[in-house]
Amino acid sequence: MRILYINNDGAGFADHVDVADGTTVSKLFEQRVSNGRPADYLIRVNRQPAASDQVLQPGDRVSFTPTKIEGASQA
Amino acid sequence: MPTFNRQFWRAAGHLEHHLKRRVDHGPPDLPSFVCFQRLRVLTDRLHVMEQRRLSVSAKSVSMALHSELDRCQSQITSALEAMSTRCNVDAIPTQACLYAELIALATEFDRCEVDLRKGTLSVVTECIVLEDLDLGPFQISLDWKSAHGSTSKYVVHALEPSCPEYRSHITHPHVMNDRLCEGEAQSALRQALQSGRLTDFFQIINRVLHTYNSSSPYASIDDWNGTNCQDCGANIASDCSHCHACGDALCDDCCTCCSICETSACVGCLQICPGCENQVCSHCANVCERCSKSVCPECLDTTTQLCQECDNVAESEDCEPANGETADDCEAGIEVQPAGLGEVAVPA
Repeated sequence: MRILYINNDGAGFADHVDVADGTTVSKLFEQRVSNGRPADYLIRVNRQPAASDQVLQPGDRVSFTPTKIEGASQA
Repeated sequence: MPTFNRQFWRAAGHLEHHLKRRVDHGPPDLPSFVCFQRLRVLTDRLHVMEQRRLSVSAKSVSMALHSELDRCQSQITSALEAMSTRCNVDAIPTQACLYAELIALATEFDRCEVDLRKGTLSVVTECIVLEDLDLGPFQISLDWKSAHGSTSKYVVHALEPSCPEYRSHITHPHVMNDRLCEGEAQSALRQALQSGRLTDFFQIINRVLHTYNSSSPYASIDDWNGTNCQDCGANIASDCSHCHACGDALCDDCCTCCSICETSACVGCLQICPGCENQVCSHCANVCERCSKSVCPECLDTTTQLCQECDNVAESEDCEPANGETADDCEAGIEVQPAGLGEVAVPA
């Protein structure tokens, strides 16, 4: 099934991706954010907080936003 | 199901209109030929200044050239982003989508306000606390009418500012003059705004405010409340003088310097030369080989490596008479022969 996957980490990513039917939020996270922990991200499905075991539906909008994003001072 | 918010619906319509304007805005705004001519003139002038070693003039021209290049770059970047949007018209969110974003925004943040007249969308964060430093809440305001490509204007304003000592224009380690230095969030912010993902946009800024990057702040948290002079304890600015030897912060009154090399130092790291009573740092001081006192280079005899006092003592010790010598002999420097030297017994 096709969902909108958004990852606001690093350079950012936002595009439609295909995932297997029955994929849960946690499963998608494991597949897409291999080096991260769910606790270090704000996870939203259709702009709402979601449980890790929530099963994704076709057309869902899933976003992962890191809780720690470093700003800087301009050189 | 949340109740219909008419103001948000109208704001979503305005936002959709402004986002579309980026596409229907006519040809991209490129730097003019005059701009490139000016860049060439400044570059040539800088080259001449440097050849003639006119450093002050060269610096002034460098700054002008830098400013002009920066302006050119901004124009080219905006034009590039406008072209990117044109190439991806389908990515412009609909009014319904933007309305959903605003509803979600109001859920993520306690306060979410729309000003249709000014064309601004604002949220208020919770109190930002970084390493026990309470910076208070911040208002993030997006001016959608200034949208040019993905570089709309937004400000990050401290509602209960807590500024570092002597720097009231810094309200957060990464916010100066209400402008956030985006750091690693820059690209994600541009993409979120370009796509109309308002919730992501404000949430990314919020996360930057909640994160302290100790390697590159406008002002570090350690120095936020200033520091204390290590000698007298007075509260001083963080960019105060420091002792070159031990690194301690010093106020203007307590900061002294070595009389030889003139580097700044605290009283504890300077020694008083017993000869001339000048203050000398450990790098400049020499040690008398006899008494081990530290003296300045001018008060140490380079031949004997002795201080004046020890040198005098050594001289007087050299002149003390041995057995059979008189003080006069000693002073005359006559070498005294032992009694009977060169004498032979002469028979009667």
